[in-house]
Amino acid sequence: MSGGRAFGRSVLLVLRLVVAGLFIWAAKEKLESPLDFRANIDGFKVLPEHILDPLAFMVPWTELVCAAALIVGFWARSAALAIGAMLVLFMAAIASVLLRGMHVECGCFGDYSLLCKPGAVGWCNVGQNALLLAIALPVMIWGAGALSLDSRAARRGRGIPAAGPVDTVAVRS
Amino acid sequence: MTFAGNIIARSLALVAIATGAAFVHWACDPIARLASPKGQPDAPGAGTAGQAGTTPIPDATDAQPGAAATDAAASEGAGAGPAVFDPTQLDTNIGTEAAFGLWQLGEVVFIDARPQDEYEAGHIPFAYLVPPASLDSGRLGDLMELGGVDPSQRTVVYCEGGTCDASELVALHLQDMGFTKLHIYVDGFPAWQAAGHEVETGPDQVLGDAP
Repeated sequence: MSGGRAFGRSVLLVLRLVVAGLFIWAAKEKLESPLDFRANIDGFKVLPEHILDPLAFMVPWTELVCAAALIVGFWARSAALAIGAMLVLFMAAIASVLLRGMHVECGCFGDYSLLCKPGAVGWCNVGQNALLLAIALPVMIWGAGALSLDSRAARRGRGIPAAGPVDTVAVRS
Repeated sequence: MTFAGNIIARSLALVAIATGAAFVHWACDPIARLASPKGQPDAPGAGTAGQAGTTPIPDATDAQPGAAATDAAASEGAGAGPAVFDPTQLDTNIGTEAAFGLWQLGEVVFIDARPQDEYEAGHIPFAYLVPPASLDSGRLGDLMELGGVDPSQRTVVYCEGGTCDASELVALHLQDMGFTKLHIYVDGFPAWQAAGHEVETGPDQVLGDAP
């Protein structure tokens, strides 16, 4: 394996762990107080009332499951894609309330904030999610990188005819 | 299946796994049940504007002192509300206007879940002092016995607002004791005070000091 290739795989490992860590934190904060998160998403006024309760649990659990998949590098591209899709939806929701001139709290990381100041959402939150999307994007494109179940499975499957597409094209020789 | 299709299918599988976990969590978590208690129909457009995290809002329509309960109910909802204040149409989480409307009804039990010193410094008139630390010593039993409170009565629990969870803890215990018409005043006492509503000071005359 070339040095450059090993470096690339290490970078992917770091990126996927960064995304996973942030989303585990976000999921933990939301799951600690589902009522608060429900109130947060209700504040966006983009969804009907009757789906807020299940959504208050679905969003953090999706974050948690995808983050767990990223940590072990299992279906990493798919997990990064799901996370990317959520980030796009979050950005759309935040942009929606900003364009409507509303003032609501993000609830993205519970009572904490990553890069933007706590309080009402702003364009900073859109930028923050775009940054997270940019971090997840390489994993979507090139796969899990080093120390992943995906690369291990790909190594095992290498050489078997008609194996079909796998989730770790990046590690194919 | 194409490569991209495979990736998308696996993404959906991950979401499906998460949905299953969320459903189990939702079914088991008492907080989730509290959010939609039996006997209180979900009210489309009914007041959730005052929920935690949604109203550090300059344009929030706080009730003014002396405002009629009907006005409070009408302005509480996101859309056009009913003309008459109907407590059964309120969500579990309520804001200042709905809390004031319930308080004006006079038959609603208010429970202050803050520490005793904060209660004595100021509380909603006629509210009982029940901090979470007092729950293990039978404070809720005293509430029913000495205060004459019945589980069938509509009950509002509040604390400091913001991120305080004392009201949720007390509400969960009340739910375990059979209270079904529960509301959490999520903005809490600071919002009540800020709205200029009447405030009472001193100890709990009925239940006495909290253990």
